[in-house]
Amino acid sequence: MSLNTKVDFNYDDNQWVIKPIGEIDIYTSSVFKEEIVNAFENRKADLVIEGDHLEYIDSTGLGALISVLKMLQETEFKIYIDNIKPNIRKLFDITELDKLFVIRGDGDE
Amino acid sequence: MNNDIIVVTIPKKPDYTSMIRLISSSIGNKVGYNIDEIEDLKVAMGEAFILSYGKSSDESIEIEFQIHKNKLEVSLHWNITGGNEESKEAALGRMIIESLMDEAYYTDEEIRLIKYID
Repeated sequence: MSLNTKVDFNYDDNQWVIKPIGEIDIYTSSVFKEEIVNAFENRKADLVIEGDHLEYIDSTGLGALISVLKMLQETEFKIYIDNIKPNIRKLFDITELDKLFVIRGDGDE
Repeated sequence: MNNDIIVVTIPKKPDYTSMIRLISSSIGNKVGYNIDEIEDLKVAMGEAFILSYGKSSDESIEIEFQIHKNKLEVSLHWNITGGNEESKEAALGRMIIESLMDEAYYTDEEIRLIKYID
């Protein structure tokens, strides 16, 4: 399994919804980051990472999210991480990135 | 299965990281880990492969799994050492490895990980 990322703008909520399907790893993380950055540059808005189909993330994937967070910190916009699976949530907890990101949903949906 | 050894040589290319996770899961299953323990091994091995990137200039990484009665010992080894380049993600990788494995040792040419078998 590799990674397929769906990037859609939600006009009702005025935010980007980014849905990674598969695995964000050392092979896929740079393209994943690029797709988010391109979307944000195309239209400045909040970003929602919809994590219900994210199966795996490694430190390079976490690094990609951190650099997106840093990019947003220079703006008024926010990044939210929704509905990640327990195995992914565990990695945010271990690395204490749960304190840096707004993680929503109970994580086992 | 006691003292069985499995050795795999894998090209040091990003697209092989999923293969390492798959092999690790399979061996974790073989030694009797539960689903969470298999996931922990898989994730730690993915991180160990990434760490070996910064440390090695070799074209491939040799991975040896030693199955003991009470533990699985894994070493990732390479022959040509690179710079001691530590990316910011490397710190995250180490945190993940050290949280998920029982023991972790790093040298310039090897990463050695141990996870106990209950």
